[in-house]
Amino acid sequence: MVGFQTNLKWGEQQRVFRMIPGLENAEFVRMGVMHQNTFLNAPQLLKNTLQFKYRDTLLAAGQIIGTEGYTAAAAGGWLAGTNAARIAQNKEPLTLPNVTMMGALFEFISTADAKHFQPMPPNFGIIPAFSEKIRNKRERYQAYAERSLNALALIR
Amino acid sequence: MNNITVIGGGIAGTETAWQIAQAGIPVDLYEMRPVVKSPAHHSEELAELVCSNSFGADATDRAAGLLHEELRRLNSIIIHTADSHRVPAGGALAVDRGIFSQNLTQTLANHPLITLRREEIKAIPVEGIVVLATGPLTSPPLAQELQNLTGMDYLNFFDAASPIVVGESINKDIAFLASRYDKGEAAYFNCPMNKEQYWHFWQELRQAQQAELKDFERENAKFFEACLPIEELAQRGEETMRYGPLKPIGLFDARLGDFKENKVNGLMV
Repeated sequence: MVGFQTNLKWGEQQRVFRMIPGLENAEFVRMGVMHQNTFLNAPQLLKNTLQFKYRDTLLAAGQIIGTEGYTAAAAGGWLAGTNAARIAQNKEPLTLPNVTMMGALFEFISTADAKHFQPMPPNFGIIPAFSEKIRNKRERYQAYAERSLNALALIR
Repeated sequence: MNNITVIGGGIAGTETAWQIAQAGIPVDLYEMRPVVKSPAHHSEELAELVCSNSFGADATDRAAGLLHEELRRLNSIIIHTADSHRVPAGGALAVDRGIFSQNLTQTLANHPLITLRREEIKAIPVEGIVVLATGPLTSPPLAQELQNLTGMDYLNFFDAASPIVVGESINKDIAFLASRYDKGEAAYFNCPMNKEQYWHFWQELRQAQQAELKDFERENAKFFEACLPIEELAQRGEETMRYGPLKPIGLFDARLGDFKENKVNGLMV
């Protein structure tokens, strides 16, 4: 059920959600649940390479660093894994260009206001704007995408 | 070469371990399931998708879609596996979650440089290179350890998952298949509600009993706006759900016409 996250008691979920037309006899595979979600204060603790500030050989990725969503978790895994390997090989850890969505996300979590830090999903608001504003939103986002993929092509 | 330690076999830890192994370095991937259970997971597979089966919009002029494309170009195993087990979902990248996780578990377990260890880590190893990918449900002993190490308090919020309904049990005389704005294949059943049905549903939802939260959870209960429980939306007002999951925009049914024009609300299942 799209967007129907819930903390209702399971019996109540069945009773109320079966009032929805078409779901009178719905069979539930799984009931909605709510749980606590824990994340680090990334701006205080992490660099944009996903290394801890106090220990270069400790890195972190996923929802615990305050990024939100599956794809952001994969992105963090990619950078933390890549940098863990680079440290093992005595190479400089990689910082991703902040015009990429990945780079912008890790720049955000490592530099955000620590006092009011909340998890951040990928979004275009954290990407640096062009000096000349493109008025049409779709065109603007498409331009961000092109700039990002061009920048990404240079790093590997 | 010393093994790198990765703690946590969710999406992040799975990608981390894979990238380390691709660089030719041996890695120990620790996952506490199934030895220690988590309150949200249902399997012992790596990279289990707990909330929805969707990675979000896939077009590159959308934020999630751009991130997908960046990761494709960087050879992310998560995105490549998602692409291989894609299911129709309008313009979104969605997967068959069982096959997705099983496939990743096998791929990693079979990699000669990856050792999958089913153990709970209670303290962060002092030696060597360590990646922490323990997720939003980091186990209490490790959370305590982290708090001691960093000398700082955690921040907490709540995350909520939606119920899942068996497709065959939906009444197709009422519900109809469509995607919002007719994007891609019609992948959702839509349950139309007239004004009266909506009002009754809203009333019942507002008054329905909530599950008990533990004391420490209640103290910290700060709902996260992107993932608000439906009953919380209902509490905020009669119209709130119509601007959220029950919005009537972009839906058309042969019998009911355009939802917005005809003031019908729709739920996607």
